[in-house]
Amino acid sequence: MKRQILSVFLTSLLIAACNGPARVCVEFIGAGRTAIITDANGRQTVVTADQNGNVTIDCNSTVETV
Amino acid sequence: MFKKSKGLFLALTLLSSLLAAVAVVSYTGHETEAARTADFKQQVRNALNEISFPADGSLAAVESASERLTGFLSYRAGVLLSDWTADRLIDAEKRSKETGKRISKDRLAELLAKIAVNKLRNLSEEQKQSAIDTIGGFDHPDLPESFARGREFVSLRADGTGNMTRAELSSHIDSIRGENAESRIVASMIRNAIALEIESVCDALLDADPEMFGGTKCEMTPMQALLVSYAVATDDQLAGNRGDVSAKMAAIESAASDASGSSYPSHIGHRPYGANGYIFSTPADVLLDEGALKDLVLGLKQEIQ
Repeated sequence: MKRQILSVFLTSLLIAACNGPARVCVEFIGAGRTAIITDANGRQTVVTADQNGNVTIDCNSTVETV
Repeated sequence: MFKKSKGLFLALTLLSSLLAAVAVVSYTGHETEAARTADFKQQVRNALNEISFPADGSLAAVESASERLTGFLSYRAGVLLSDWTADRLIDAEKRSKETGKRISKDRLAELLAKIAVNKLRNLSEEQKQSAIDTIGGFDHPDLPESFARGREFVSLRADGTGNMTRAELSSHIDSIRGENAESRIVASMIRNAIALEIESVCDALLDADPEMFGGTKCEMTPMQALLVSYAVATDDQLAGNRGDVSAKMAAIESAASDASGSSYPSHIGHRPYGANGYIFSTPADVLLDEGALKDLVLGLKQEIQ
């Protein structure tokens, strides 16, 4: 029974890992600075760094500081 | 022997050159980072100077500061204080100045969380869809295709955190509705998130102006608490005065045109923050509507009684 539970738990973890969100990276661009982010599919967005200078983006994106 | 020494000498020279190069690059990096931080602090001071909180509790000083603050909230994000609410704010600020009573970060977090949860629970389906669409980012009929596709996802904060699909956000909003265990957990998470955001805004303001809260860590007068609440709701970092922010929007317009390879809509006639904000779009029209502002100001007034 315990083995079955463990197996179900591990399978769920594996599924979650495979279907999980895109890898997230924190990039430093300077406090309050704005950047244009282009993701791997060519989608573009405008982000503004927090007071520590960081933006949170998909790791496969490119960052162009304004 | 000589060959061995020569080899060692060369190796040491190379190593010291490498270390010197690393030191120079590292120093230059720190200098740039320090300059950027200093620039950010100056921008925050520019915004605070534009508001200029009252130095004393005289009616003239408080009324004039109230006008500057309401003007600031209006041009930044279209957040409008009714005359009735502005009068209550003036009363509360005057009392705070006279008695020295202030509002703590924790009390403000409680108050804002209560208003936010209440607001989210009572959103109509139409308001919910409109809010989700707004968080998707600045929209315009002439938006380049790459930016229009960028609106398929939403980011809860301007720095890109809380990135998710529209369906995921819709499901999160739904989970707050109803009196059940899940709803209570989400309400508690919202309270914690608001507390962290208040902390972050307080830190940024104190970094820029250590005298901002009269020398206290983050004990706010009602007007300061309203400004912090506004910053939390819209993610306006309170950096830059009207001219600075306009220049920033012009820079975004130019960079976005270059990055997309087609003309990005002009920033003229758009607000930087709030609903369809050019820098960061948030449903301020829903979160900080007249009812919410009234509840907030009355709550602040009660805190300093």
